Amino acid sequence: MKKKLVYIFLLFTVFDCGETIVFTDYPLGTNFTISDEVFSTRSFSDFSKGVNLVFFGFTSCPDICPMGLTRMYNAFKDDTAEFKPGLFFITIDPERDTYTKIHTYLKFAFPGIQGFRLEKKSAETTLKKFGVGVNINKKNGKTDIEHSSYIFLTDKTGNVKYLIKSGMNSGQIRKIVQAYRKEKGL
Amino acid sequence: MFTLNKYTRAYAIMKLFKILIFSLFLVTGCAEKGIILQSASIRPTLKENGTSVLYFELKNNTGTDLRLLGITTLFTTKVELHETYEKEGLAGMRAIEPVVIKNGETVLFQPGAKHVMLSEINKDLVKGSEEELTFNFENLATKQTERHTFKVRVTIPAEL
Repeated sequence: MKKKLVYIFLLFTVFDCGETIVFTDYPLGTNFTISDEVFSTRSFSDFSKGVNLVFFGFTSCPDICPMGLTRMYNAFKDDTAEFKPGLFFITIDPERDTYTKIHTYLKFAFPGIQGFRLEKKSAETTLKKFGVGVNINKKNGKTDIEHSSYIFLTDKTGNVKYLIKSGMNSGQIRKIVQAYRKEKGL
Repeated sequence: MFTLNKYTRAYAIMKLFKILIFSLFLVTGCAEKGIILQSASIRPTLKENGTSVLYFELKNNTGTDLRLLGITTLFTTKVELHETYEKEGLAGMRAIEPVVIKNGETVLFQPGAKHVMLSEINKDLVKGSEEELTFNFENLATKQTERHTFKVRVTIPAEL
């Protein structure tokens, strides 16, 4: 009996009893064109790696966006650049988020995360292709923004392979990226 | 010579254990009075980026119910009690009414939930520094306003 219990314990230890991570070819994502004042005419794949994490947000967001970016950043902060996945932030508020504002924001709080500002047309197509919902309400001089808070795991060309929920912590995010690398032999 | 047999030894150990448990009750019974601010943090932000956030746990041990009306600080006049919500797959943030904290209760302002938005900050909030914040309450028994000032560290919340 005791032996059986030990075997069961070992089995649980080996398989970690964790949730199985399944990667899917979502009909989401795109190798979008970067149309900001610095990188115009270039595309996502000029910057991406074999595995990437993409987050859509805005720099004046107090809670949701810095929370997502902190988790993305913390998951890989101790890794060398070579081992880090591509980490990207795309603004959904191009009217207020200038190129300089995005880059100052990321450099100060989340070094290593690359930021993009897409021009209106490119932004509309990209958001649609990623399935990112955005609601911008302007009232009494205040701008309230509602948006999807997923972190998208993509391949080199921006095709979405996994949706990371906003509540997942940095340890879980790291595990998902490692599992993707293992599955794809990256 | 006096020796303890196994029964008296067990009795002595039990007695000691009871004294220990009783002391523990005494210690926890003498919990800190007043308003206790814990796990407080302000997110590091540059002045030019403008928006930061304050998280904390606030325990009301004052003996009376309180209402948190707002927070004031020297580095911004734009402070709002906020909450993060999800509606039809979209996440957003909105201002909330003053928060009632009953005597003995703890209210949590944490990532992804209630938080304090600090916008239009007038200086860089650098990691490791400390800022003074005044919490304004309404004492629900006396209807008087009470102010409590705390120093809060500029840092990333531990749970992230």
